[in-house]
Formats: sequence, C-alpha cells, structure tokens
Amino acid sequence: MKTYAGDLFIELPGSWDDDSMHVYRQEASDMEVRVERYPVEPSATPEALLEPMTERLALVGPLEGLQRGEADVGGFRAATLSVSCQREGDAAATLLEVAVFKPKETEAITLTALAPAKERARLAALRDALLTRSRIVEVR
Amino acid sequence: MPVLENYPGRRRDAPSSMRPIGPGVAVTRDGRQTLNRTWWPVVLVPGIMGSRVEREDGTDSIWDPDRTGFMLSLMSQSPDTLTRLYNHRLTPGRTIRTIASGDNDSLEDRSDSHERAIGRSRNERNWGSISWEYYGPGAVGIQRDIAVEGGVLWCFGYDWRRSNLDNGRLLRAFIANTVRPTSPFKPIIVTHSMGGLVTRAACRVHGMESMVSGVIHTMMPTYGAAEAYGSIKHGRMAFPFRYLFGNTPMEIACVASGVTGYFQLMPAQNYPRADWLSVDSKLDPHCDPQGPFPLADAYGIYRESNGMVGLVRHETFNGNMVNVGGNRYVRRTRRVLQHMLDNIAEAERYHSQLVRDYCAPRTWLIAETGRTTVVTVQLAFRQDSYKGIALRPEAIGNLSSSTEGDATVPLVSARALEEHPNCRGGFIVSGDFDHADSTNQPIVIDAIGDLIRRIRREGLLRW
Repeated sequence: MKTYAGDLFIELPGSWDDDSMHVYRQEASDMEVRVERYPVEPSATPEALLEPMTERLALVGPLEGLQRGEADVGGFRAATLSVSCQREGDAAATLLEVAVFKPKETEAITLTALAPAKERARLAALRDALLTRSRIVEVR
Repeated sequence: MPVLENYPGRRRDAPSSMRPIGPGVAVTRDGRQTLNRTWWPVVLVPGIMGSRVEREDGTDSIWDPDRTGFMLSLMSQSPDTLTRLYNHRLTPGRTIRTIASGDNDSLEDRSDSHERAIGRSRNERNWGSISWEYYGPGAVGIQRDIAVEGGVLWCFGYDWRRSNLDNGRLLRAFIANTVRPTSPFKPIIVTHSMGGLVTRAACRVHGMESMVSGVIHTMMPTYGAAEAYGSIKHGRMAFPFRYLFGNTPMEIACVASGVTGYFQLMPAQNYPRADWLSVDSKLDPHCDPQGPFPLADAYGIYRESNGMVGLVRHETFNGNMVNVGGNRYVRRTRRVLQHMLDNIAEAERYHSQLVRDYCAPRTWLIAETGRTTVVTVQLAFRQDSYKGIALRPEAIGNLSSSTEGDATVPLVSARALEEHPNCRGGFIVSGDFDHADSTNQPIVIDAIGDLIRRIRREGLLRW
C-alpha cells in the first residue's frame, strides 16, 4: 500500500485499511476540517449515507437552515448538507458543511467543515475550495 | 429496615437547621480571602457519558457534550470510526479539566457569594471534568444549597468508557490527593447513575470506605438496567444512549463494544426482577451452548455464541466485517468481538466477584419513578425461508416498558440496596424529567440537599 500521511509518503508492504481521521485547524480561528474514510455497501449512495447522519445531527440540538444538495468532488458525485445549530447557552450558532462521496465502490469519504456563525463567509469559501479542489490522486 | 419515602419537597420557609462549622467570618469584597470557616467537602460523581473526555495527548476530544461544534462533527462520523473512538483500549483518553464556557466558571454576585468565599474556582474544584450540559445546573444548585453552611462541591469526572473498577481506583486517589488536603472532614459522595457503581467499587475494592462521611446514590442502576442488554437485541435506544451508540442492533453492538462501563450496566446475576428476560423456548436448541439459561447465569447469556440470547453471533463478527445497517460497515470485528467478551468478563468480575451487593456505610438512595422505562426484554423465535429453503433462525428482541422507573433505570434496580443494613433510607421522586437530566431538577437538588443535612446531623467524620 502506498499513501500519504500529510505530506509524508509511506509504502507499507501488503494490504492495509486506512483508519486515519484527518483533522485540520487554523491558528486564530475556530474553523475545522475533518476528512474521514469508511467502509460502505456497494449499493450505498451518497444520499443514503447522509440519512443516518442527519438523524444523528438532530440529536445535538435544533437544526436551522438545513439544506441538502449535490456537488461534484473530483469527478465523483457528492451529496452535500449545510446546517446551523445553536443550543441553549451557546453565544452563537455553529455552522456545519458536509459532503459525502464514494471514491470506490465499498468506500466513502465524508468531508466536514465547521465554523462559528461569525466566520460564515470564510466557511463558504472553505466549502467551495473543498468541493472544487479536492480530488483523488494516484499515489505513485 | 429503611424504606424509601416519597419526597414531599422542601418547605421553602424552613430555616436551615445546620450552621456553618467555625466562626463564619464575613466575606471580603473580592471574595478571595479564605474565611475562618471550616469547609466540608461534597464530591459529585456523574454517570456514563457525563464526563468530558479527550484523547490522552489532548489533540482532540472524544466526548464533549458542552461543545456544539464538536458534537456536530462527532454525529457525522461513521460507526466504523466511532467503534474505535469509543474504545478506551484503542483510543486512550483523559478527562478535560477546563469548563468549556468561561461564563460557567464565573460566579454571580448575590447567588454565589458564599461559593466565592470558598476561595477556589470551579475549575480548581474540577468542575470542568463533568458535562455542563448534563450536570452544570445541578452542580450549581447543590453548591448554592450547601455553601451557606460551609459545603464545598467538587466534581469527579472520569473516562466512563473504562471499567468502573478502574475509575473507582481513580476516585479514591482523587479523594486522597485532591479533596483530603482541603478539609479536616471526610467528604460526602453524591452519585448519579453509573457514578454509583464507580463509588461502590472505590469503597469495596479500593479501600475508600473509611474515607467518606456518607454516600448518596441517585438513580443508580445497582444491578443494571434491562435496556442496556435489550437495546443490542432490539436496536432501539433511549436518549441519550442513542446519541452515543446508534440505532440498529449491530451498530449499537459495535460502537458500544469498547465501552467497558456499558457492559456493567447490563442486568447482573442478582438483578432484582426475576422476569426481566423471557426467551421463546424454540430458541434454546439453537443456542451455543444449548439453552435454556437461568437468569442467574447472566454472563453466560451474554456470551452465548450463536447470538440467540447472546449479545451477538460470534461467527458474524469473526468474518471481520459487519454490516451495521444504513449502508455502512464496521471493520476488524474479530477485535470488536474480543473486546466485547473482555468487557463481559469485566462486568462479571465487578458484579459477581468483587462488588456484588456491597453498600457503603451511611448510604442514602434517591430513585425516580413515573417515566416510561424499559423493564423487560422478550426474545422471540423467527425463521424465514427463501425459495422454500429455511434460513437460519433468529432471535427477535422486543422491549416492554412500564412507568416504574426514570426512563432508563427501572425502579427495582435504583432501590435495590434499600434493605441493605448499611442503607439509611432516602427518597423516591416523581416528575416529568428523564434519567439523564435528573440531577438538574430542583426537586432532586432539594432532595440531595436534605440528605446531605441528614448525614451532617449524624456527624461528619474527621480524617
């Protein structure tokens, strides 16, 4: 298996599952990006994978402005979700952007981006960048 | 024998019968001066999911209900990831030490003037380790109630994914190293839910019995709760467990597999309701080993390897990949199964060998009833066929509820220690609140305060 851990190229003998969860944060910002890969049924669609996620998100608190859509991520069809949540006691709402796509028949990737409401514009730009610039590359 | 009485509520005009210990010198304006008053400690031990936990290296949270953003990202993660995240063996953790919102560490001028006189912030008293969402209002309520009399509330958050036996050892160390140097009096321990199991382990197994003035258990699943087993067979979980583990039998089984404490919430061999589980006899020949299983062999039931009465079918997990529903899989399920079996063994060690029916001296109980609560589990036989060929038999779990409980813990389990010689009595409360939110309720805060005063009337023990 050949892969990158950040900018570190590694080559592992044999077959491996990628269990890594990548978390990216910026200094002086509460924005956060997470990238998760996980196994799914061959018949799973990105939309179907968003269903249980949406149900679970509703357990956190009242969801506002929930919007679902579609996008193209590096040539793969993605289901997207945008939502905000402000619970009792929160000074401001938290914004969440999610994109789910399947780069392989039995593997899905979830991209999430989070930001407080005051960083709405920056989150929108981040979302666009994630959707338009992310792509699956061949690891040589 | 003590009998729990229905809590009548506190008379608001009743004068406090207890006085501060010591002269009670006036507070200075900034409140930072240590008073010439002898403070006495109370330690709050929360239940499962009630403590905020982060990775051992502090790089990310594992469970933090107080941060909306983190919880949103957590809820978007797959069962495969959550199975590893909630497994304390795979993802070691520690409790978070700083209250998430700075506002909650600041004191109000009037309501908290006595608390200010303590001279230690809430963060210094480890309040950051518990979830404000679940316990904050209750902690503030208890502290306001007792501060005028010299009571100081400490909180003991813990990594609830680990065994209650391990956390009992840590609780003892917390009392010995952190609480003891602050007062000549041994603390009163107030527990909620699984915190009661931690405390009983600390006293029974780790020598904390002689280190406390009294114990108040609230809503304790003494010998477990039927829902903890039934949810894996049925796939339905009440809030807040649904928040944590998911909503299909396989998802719950996988995601809960690394939470050792959860297995100690399944009914033990001495669970006080003899009909908590009923099994269709047609399932017996399909069990491995063959049934029937007496309820006194609860851990034999959980281990049964065909998944008829057992938690899961081992063969399915030995395939190393399990479909958990919703189009999703969990990988490396041989390891998942091994951790489940390890956790069943640890639960057996807790309930059958080490803690058993232990009740600490000067124990008081508070239980809630009136909420729809899973009290029994029925396993039915089903065998479908495909094109005339009989498929493998299955056990179908059904849950039955009654209003005798707090929506999670059946009343029989919460009051199971009532007749123990060390139990002094306590209260049953009724209300329109559920288990998870119970310690935030004014009626429960008042009941806790009243029992603290009874313990003080009997006399706090000195170190």
